[in-house]
This record gives sequence, structure tokens and C-alpha cells, in this order.
Amino acid sequence: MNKKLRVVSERSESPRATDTAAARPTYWRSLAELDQTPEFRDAVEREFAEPLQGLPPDSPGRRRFMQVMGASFSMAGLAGCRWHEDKILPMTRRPEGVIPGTTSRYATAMELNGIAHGLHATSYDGRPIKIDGNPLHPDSLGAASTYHQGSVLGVYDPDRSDAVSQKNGEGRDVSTFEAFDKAAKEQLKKLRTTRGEGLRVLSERSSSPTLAAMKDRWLAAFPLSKWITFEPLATNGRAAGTALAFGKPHRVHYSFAEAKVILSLDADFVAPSFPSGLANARGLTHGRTPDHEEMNRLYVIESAFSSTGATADHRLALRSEQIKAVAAYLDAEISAKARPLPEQGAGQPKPNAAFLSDAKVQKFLDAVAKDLLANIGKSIVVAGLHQPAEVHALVERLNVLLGNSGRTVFYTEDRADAATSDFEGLKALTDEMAAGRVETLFVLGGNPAYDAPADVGFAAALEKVAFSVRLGLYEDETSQGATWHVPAAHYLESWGDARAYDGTISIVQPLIAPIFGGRSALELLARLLGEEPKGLELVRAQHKGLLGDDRRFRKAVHDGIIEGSAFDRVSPKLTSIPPVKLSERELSGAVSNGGFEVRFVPCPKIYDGRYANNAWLQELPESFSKLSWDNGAFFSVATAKELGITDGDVLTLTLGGKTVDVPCIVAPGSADGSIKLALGYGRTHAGRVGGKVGTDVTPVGGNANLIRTTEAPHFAAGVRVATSGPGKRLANTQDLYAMDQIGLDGIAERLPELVREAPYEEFKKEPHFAKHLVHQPHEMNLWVDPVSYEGHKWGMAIDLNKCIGCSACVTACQAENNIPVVGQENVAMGREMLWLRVDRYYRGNPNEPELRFQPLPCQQCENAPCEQVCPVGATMHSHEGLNDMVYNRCIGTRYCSNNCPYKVRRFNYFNYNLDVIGMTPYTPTEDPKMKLKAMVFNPEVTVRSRGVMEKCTFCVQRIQNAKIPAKNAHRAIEDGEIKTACQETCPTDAIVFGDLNDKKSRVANLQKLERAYQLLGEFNNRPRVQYLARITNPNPELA
Amino acid sequence: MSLFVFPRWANKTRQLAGLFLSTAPIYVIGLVWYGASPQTTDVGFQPKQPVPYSHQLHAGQMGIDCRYCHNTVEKAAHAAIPPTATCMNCHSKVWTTSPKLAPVRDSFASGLPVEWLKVHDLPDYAYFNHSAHVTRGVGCVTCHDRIDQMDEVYQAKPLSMGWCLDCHRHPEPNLRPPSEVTNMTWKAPNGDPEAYGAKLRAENHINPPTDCSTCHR
Repeated sequence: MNKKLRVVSERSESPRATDTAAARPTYWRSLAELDQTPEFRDAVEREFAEPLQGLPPDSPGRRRFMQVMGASFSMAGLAGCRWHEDKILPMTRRPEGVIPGTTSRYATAMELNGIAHGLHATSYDGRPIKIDGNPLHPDSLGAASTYHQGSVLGVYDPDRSDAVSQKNGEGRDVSTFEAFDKAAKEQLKKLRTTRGEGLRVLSERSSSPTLAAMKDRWLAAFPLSKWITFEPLATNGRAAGTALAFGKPHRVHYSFAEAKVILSLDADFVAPSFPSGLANARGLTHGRTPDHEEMNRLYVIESAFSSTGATADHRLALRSEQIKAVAAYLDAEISAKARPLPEQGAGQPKPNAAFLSDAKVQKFLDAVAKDLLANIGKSIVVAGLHQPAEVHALVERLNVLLGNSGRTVFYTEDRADAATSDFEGLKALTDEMAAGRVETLFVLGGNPAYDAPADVGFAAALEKVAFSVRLGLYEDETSQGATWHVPAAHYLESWGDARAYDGTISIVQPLIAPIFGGRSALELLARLLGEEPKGLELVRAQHKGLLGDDRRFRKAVHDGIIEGSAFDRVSPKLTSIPPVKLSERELSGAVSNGGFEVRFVPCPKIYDGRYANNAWLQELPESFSKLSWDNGAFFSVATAKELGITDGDVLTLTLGGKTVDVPCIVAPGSADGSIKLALGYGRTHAGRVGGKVGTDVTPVGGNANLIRTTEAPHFAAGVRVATSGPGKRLANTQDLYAMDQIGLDGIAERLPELVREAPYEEFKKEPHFAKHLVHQPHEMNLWVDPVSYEGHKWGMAIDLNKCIGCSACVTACQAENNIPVVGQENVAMGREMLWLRVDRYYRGNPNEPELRFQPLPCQQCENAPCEQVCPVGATMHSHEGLNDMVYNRCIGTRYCSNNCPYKVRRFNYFNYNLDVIGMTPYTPTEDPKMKLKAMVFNPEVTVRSRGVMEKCTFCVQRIQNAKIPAKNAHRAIEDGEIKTACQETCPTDAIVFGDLNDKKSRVANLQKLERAYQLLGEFNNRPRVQYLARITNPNPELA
Repeated sequence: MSLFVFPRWANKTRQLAGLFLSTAPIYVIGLVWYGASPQTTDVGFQPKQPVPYSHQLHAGQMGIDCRYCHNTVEKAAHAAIPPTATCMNCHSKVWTTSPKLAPVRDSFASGLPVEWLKVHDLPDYAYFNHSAHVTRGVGCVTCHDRIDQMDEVYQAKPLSMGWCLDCHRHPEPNLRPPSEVTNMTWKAPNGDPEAYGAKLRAENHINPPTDCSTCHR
């Protein structure tokens, strides 16, 4: 019996060692599946994974269960035959227009790394429960990322600091705002006499005009003090690079929709951590719509897979440090042909790099250069923000020479000090602190004790500051060493303002008063300066000049943007760039252990660690590894093989004498010799989700900051890898299935049918290729269709061309539908609860794969296999085509999940909301902190308890809340009025929901496209969701 | 193990035991069916409210329309209990020192709500929308019975799923012109509610859905 994976395949270049003469696989879901290791086969054959310690995790235990049940019976009594009594608590004075039990949306904005993203926050009965994008905001265009979707959970985090605390020896005492205000006032009185000597302020990056003005007033009041800005993800390469190319620092803006050829040099420009990332994503994917116009072509050169790389037509994996030589090479090629003006200088000399003479690399770069030159004024070259100044200078030079400036690439002037390094600034401050020259320090937000690079030693230096004040949301690592900790107000609790990357000002408005009485940075400083302490008044006063009267201010607050406040575009003059210096490392080819590169990236879920205590984001499977509750070191297949490591092996990475322990993740598509490591993990004082030393909550993941240095904070060379411990079981959601060899063979046969794609030329010749990939005989029903679907006919279309795998839809669904968090152990056992998942498929050779994403909601099959097997009728089909789920009727046989071919049903194995809603309605929690956690629930959706099945409902609550008012007003529902949570947040508009019976609706027209296909449609289950096949646009020279 | 042998006197009780064992299940099932049904457990629920507000006085004798206080009923899912300010609209001028109204005055002064107990309570997983019913012509009296005669509100109808479905499947007897929804004593003009309801149903395109997702989200 052939135990190999039987696959539909195509020939490819370099065969794997384990492969026989059999042909290579096309699509594969993971290396474990491809390799068919004995451990893997063992794991998949066991239908229910073994619990890690024998006891089912999180179960209260049988004895405890009986105790609780006994208690509740005795308490209930006969009068309690009716469920628990509810109280109605109306307001005393209801403002006009407020209807209790309905939602309102307010515009606000959230800043990350000093760049604001406009949002709409939904408020229910006076508390924010959901975040979405602001369609009017240029960086959002209605979309929001995982960071924004998850941020609402942070408002109700029971670990948030709720009181001022003061250091007392080794511990901390709870104190009061009055005590702090008094002490601070005295301290500042002293400082006024010394004109602020020994006073320092360390803040996060902020584009807030009000804060900037306050900073000026602060520095005027304390002329000898200094204000330092630090963000662990701050980069200054672009500012320094544009200064090199244009004479002063500039910001670079793109119009991807206009570009025909795009080259990314290690730039993940569609990521939410990239400035205007979501708007870039929309523009890029708009240009990749093959149905009407010519498609653009995307080339990506990067060190590890990113969303941009997954969308690429052609991708080359090189280490981040090799990009400089690539940029120089391209400049040499293009300057020779593009005829630069005399003052623009000659091109770079061709670098003498070993890796550049590789045939494959040469072919790639030559094809790229040719394509760029053939599309003058219609191309874009982008450099990753972490790349050094020279790369940015060369990239902007290319943009100018290729005629893109003013057409697809636009420039605005940046701040004069934009090219200074945050890391240098922090190091200088810390040296002063360690030398005892800082007597008073205010740390506003951030967490420098955790995320400062290892050579800075901030935590130790903080001990030497006599009077330090830390304003923070949590009593975290930095608060441990601070004299005073003052609770901060969340952005959803504060007034403020912030600028988008292009300068558009948004007013930040609160949706709820500070729950723990926290203060925003503005309010803290205002109080210390003796100014008006109310945030609203400060912001209003700041914008009086621009907005004048109250009416215009209200409009700005309502819209979420101040129209016309964007920076003016400029046309900078390109000057000559001197030859860039290339070190031996940057010219080198392959590297070996001891010389590996490590690339520090923001985690797509918890960013730089600020969301480490956010359970939604910790549990979200990371886009590429599908790993939750952990971080890992990403290796290429070849490098992993060379080191003899595999998924889960615990490794020690050593750089410059410092070490960190992380598990190994074998990530096909990484550059050989480059290790990607996400920041934000290994936090010691995050809370009961992210980790707290001294309690039984172990820190999640490994702290990459331990090997990070100020000289090379974004990527560094010289890492040594050693195996340090036995392999650990990773909570990985992609590799969980329970089936035998026959099942696996069946899957392998089907994989090419799940993600259907074709090159653009083939698509033009045969537009219906997607439908014909699988032979679907015309199937007849044995019975007459019971429903005729004459009213609304809900359906969805998901464009695989547009999905970039960011997973914002998954978090949006979790926020909207009260989906519980199950924890690391349960995820590892396959008991994840996320209704929507984004499947990740690799394609081709494991050493040079392509990546495909496929979001999978419930397909709402008209002929649903799940409905037919429910013994109690808990899942029924509605007259509009929805597969309804009735939680109270479900008895938990799980037959429906068994029968679902897409495996989109989730079962509540435990009462995951036990700490919040209690075991029964008679035993609800009395703990006020747990009651706080319950405030994030969406009251429009049932909160499920143990033993019931749940699944995506196409956001039926949104459908009902649109249908009923429309019917009350005797009007039809417009297309686009009902947006599912996943659709609303998607930055690329990949998910479209609507009424298929409405001929003019977008979804009806998308489902009629030739490239639309049904997933596993040959089962005759007639899913309402159709996928639009992915079309690639390869360069014929590189095919 | 020794064999169990019935005592001799059990022979005489055999027939009685047989009769008992065959009728007991019917009895138990009947007991639960009727004893645990919403008709038994919920109808008549009359909790003691913090303020002895009498609908009989305000809505009945004085004729205040339901929607004066429950003013969100045509626009929203919840027919909201009025804020204290609504009470004070009149009671800042009328009965200003009554001890029965002390909780209301305290609430208005302190900003803390009056803690009413919910009488007509559906389980948390069932979502009912008032506006869909009221704007379509289902009268308040249909589900809440003669509130205008209740000194203390009690639940008069079972509000069970079966009871709701009875109307959703056969709405005609319960329909009236939308302008008459708050009229507690309205009767069909021609004396035939079935026929009149059928006419209203056709005119107003009333199609009560019976899909699960109508109420269960």
C-alpha cells in the first residue's frame, strides 16, 4: 500500500529528498502533511486529541460540579421555576434621540506608532462594543485591522490598572489621585525654580496637534528639560533616505490603483503596521481585478512571507540585509536606461555581490527592471520601512527616474527631526538616567522597560530616578520601577486628536467615561502645567483656529476628519546619491549557523506587545504559521533541514552574547539564513492573559527584545541557533484534522479544487476555467425544493484575488458574535471557537512556494448536510437561505459538525464564559471585574454556554436589524445596507454580502462572473457562498 | 448472590401495582406538561415593584396613551420603561409630596434609576421586536392583556414560543388597523375578527415569518 500522499500534481524543479519519482504536489496545507511523518499520521488518526495532562482542561472537575449543582438546587426553591428575575434600570433623564437597546456609531481614531487610523465605534447603551473603519478617513476607507478590532476588548480588561500606586521598597502601595497630584505639584514647583533641570518626558509617538502644542508649552515652562519619543517599532530609514535623495525628510504616499507594475523591496505595504497600509491594500487589489481592466503585476523581494508576498505574481526570497545590494543593482540597471538629468547624478555602480550572480536572481532582477522601464509613470517601487536610509534613497531615486513621482508616488514634507533615531534617543536618555542626571521622569504610555533593546538597560536605570511617574493602562513592566503609577485612559475613553499618515486630522472622541478614572496624557500634562484639565476643552481650543465655531467643530467630531487638513503634496528635486557602502555581510551569499540574520517584525496580532493581554488577539491564528498563543522563529525549509530542526523544537537564539528561547516554525518561503521573530511576546507583567511572573500565568512566547540592540533594532546578523529543549506542542490551527489515510488521500485529491487559480492569459482564453475544474454533473433532487426563495436570498462572494490574509475579518467576527476564547491547550486540541477561519495553502516547491489564503465562513448551504442530521431540529433552513442555529434546542450530539464538509461548525466543549456568566443563571458572578468583562458582549447575539454548537450566521442580527426598520418604514433594503462584520472590516473588500434576488446587487453580479465557483459544490449541497478564482499575472519572461 | 423472591403478600397487590405502574407515567407526564408549561409558571407573575405605579389609574382612568411613556415602541425592539423624567413631567406639579412617589423623586434627584422588576421576560436567546408588531397592527392588549385594568402589572399571557407561533401561523384574529394598537377595547367593526383580519393582512402585506432566525439569534 503506497503510504505516500497521493496528489494531483505538476512537475517542478528541485525534487525533495523524500520524494520518489512521483510527480510533485501542487497544493499542500503544511509540510507535515507533505512529509507524512509518523508523528503526523499518529496525530491525525486520533479523532480526539489526547489532553495534555489527562484532565480535560478548564473543566471544573466532577466533584466541584456536583457541589455547585447541589448549591443551586437548594437555593432555587419552587419559586425559582421561572428563570432568574431581570431588572429594568431606565435612565433618570433620557437625552433626546437616545433609544435604549439600540446602537449608535461615533467617529473616533486610534493611533499606532504615531499614525492615526479613523474608526467608527459602535456604542450600545453607553458603552463601546465594536470597532469598524471610518469610510471618510483616507487611511481607513471603511476598513479596520486586527489591532483596531481587538482594541475594544482592552477597555474592559480586568487587569487594567484601576488605582494610582506608589512604590514602597520592593512592592507597591495603592494610593489616590489626590496624593499623586499633591506630590507632583510639589515636585514641579521645585522644577520651576531650576527651569526644569533633570526633568525628562518619555512619550510614545504621537501625531496629535494638541499634544504637540502642549509639548511646546511644557518645554517653554521647563527650558532645561527634554522630551524624548520612543516607539519600539519606530524607523527612520525613510526619513533619512528621502533626506539623502531630496535634501530633507519626506513622507511617501502611493496610489496603487494607478500602478501597473509594483516592486516591493522587503516592504509589507498592505500590512496595518505600514503607514496607510489598509488604503494601500485596497488600491493594490483594486488593480488586480481581472474582470474589466488590465491587471497590475506585483514583484516582491522579501525575507519572510508577508501579506504582500502572498499577493505577489513573482517573489524572490532574500535576506533583509541583501536588499541594499539589490537596490544598488536595480539603480545601476535603470539609471543606465532611464537617462537621469545631470543634477540627478549617475546610477550606482553594479555591486559585486555573490548572490547577485545567481542565475535565478539575475533573471528575476533583469525582468523586473525591464518591466519597470516599460511602464514609465505607471509603476511603484517601495522599500520596507526597516531598511536603511540608502535603500530608501535609491528607491525614491528609482521612483523619480521612472516618472512615478506625481503620478503614482507622491511626497509630502516630513518633520525636520524625522530622521533622528528613536533608539539613539532612548539610549541617550537611559545613559543620563543611569548616571543620575535625571531626577524627574514622566513616562507617558509605552512600555520601555519591556520593549527597549537589550543593550539599553532601561529598567535598571529607572530605579535611579528619584521621582518617576508612569502613565499606563496596566501596571506593567515599566510601572514596577516607577515611583508613581497613574492609570491611563483608553483611547475609547479620551478626547484627543491625531493625524493620518497624509496629515488629515481626526478628532478622537470618547465613547465612555474613564471606567477606572484614568487620565489621558493630555489631561495629565495639562493638570501639571496648571491648565484646563478637561480633554475636550484642550482639543477644542487647539482647533479653534482651523475650525472656528462650534458648528464646524461638531462636524469634524461627527465626520471623524477635518476636511482639507492633509499635508500639501510637494515635488522634491532628486539630487545625486553617492555610491552606497556595502559591507561584506551585505554582499555575501549563503550564511551558516552563527551568522544567521534575525528579522524583528511587529506581531500581526499583538503588535509590539501592547496587546499581549488581549485574549482575542493572542488566540487569533497568526496569518502564516496559523499559530496562536505563542511566537516562534521562522526558518526556511532548507535552513531548518540544515540545522536538523522541525516545528515545535525549542531553540535558543544567541546574538551578541544574549539569548532568547523560542520554538521553531518551519515556514516555507522564508529566505535561507533569515529568521523572522515577532516582537511583543515574553511579557512578564502583562496580566492574566499575557503572562505575569509570580502567578501561575506563564508569559506567552519568547521575548525578542532580549537579543535586540540599538545598532540593529530591525534586522541583525550573527545569530546562532541551538536546540535547547524537547519539542513542544504548538497551538496551531492549520494542522488539526482527525482522519485516516483514506481521508488524507481524499483531501490531497481535492486540494487543487479548493483554491482555483489561473494565469491572466489563460483566464482570458478560457474564462470559465474555475467552473470546469471539477466535473459537476447536473444533479437532481429526489424531492421538490421546499423553499422557493422569492423574498430575500442572502449570499456572499469572496474574491480570492483580494484576500491578503490579514485576518481582521476573524477578529471582527469574534467581536460581533461574542465568540469565546478557549486558551492555548484547547486550541492545541482542536477546540478553537473562531467561526470564520482563513485557510492558508502553499503551492508548488516547498523551497519556493506561493501562498494562498481562503476565508471560510459557514457556506449556508441550501441543501445543508448539517440540517439533515440534527436529531432535534436545532439547525433549520430559513426562507431567505440562512442556515439558522437555535442554541437552546441543541443537545450536543455534534452530528452536524460531523457531517459538515467544510468543518465550519464549532462546539462549546466547556462553558468558556464560566467566569463571566456563571454556571447557571442562578449562579452568576458577583465579582465586579468579571462583570466588567461581560460589558464587551454584543447584546444582539446570544451568549452560548456549554454543550451547544455554534457557527457563522451571516450576522443574522445585522440582517434582522436592517430588515425590521426597513419594513417599518415601508422601504426596500438597499444593496450595501447590510454588511456582515467580516465584510465591513475587510481592507480589500474581498468579502461581499447581499441579496442574490436583487439583480443590481454587487453579490448577485459577482456570483455571475465566469470565475466564480462553489467550494465542494459537487456534493450538491448548493452553498450560498461562492469564491472568485484567483488570477495571477505572471511575467512571460519569468514563467 | 441470593435470588430475590417477592413476599407472598405481593400476590394480592399485583393487579393494583400493575394499574399504578401503567398510569403513573401518564400522570407524571401530565404533571410536567401542565405544571412546567409557561401557562402555569409564568401567567400570573406579579412581582412587587419599588413604586406602586398603577396602570389602571394612569392608562385606564386618566386615559394616557401607552406610547406617552413607552415611546420607543414604534421605533425599536424594546418598549422602553420611561426614564424618571417622564414621571416627573407631571409629578413635579402633581402629588409632589406623596410618600408613594418618594422613590421617583429620589431617583430624579440622585441620578440613580428606579429598579423596576421585569414582568414580561423572554429568555435571553429569544429576541422580540416591538416595532415590527406595533407598526403592523398587533395591539398592545393582544400580548399584555388589559393592562389598563391592572393596579399592579401581572403577566396575563404565557408568551411561550408555541403561543407566539399560534399567531405567526394564523395572525388574522389578532390584527387591527395600526392606528388602533393602543385601544384596549377595540373590536373588529363587522363583528368578524377573522375576516377583518384577513382583509388587513392582504392590504398591509403582513407575512409573519416562522423561521427560527426570526427570534433566535
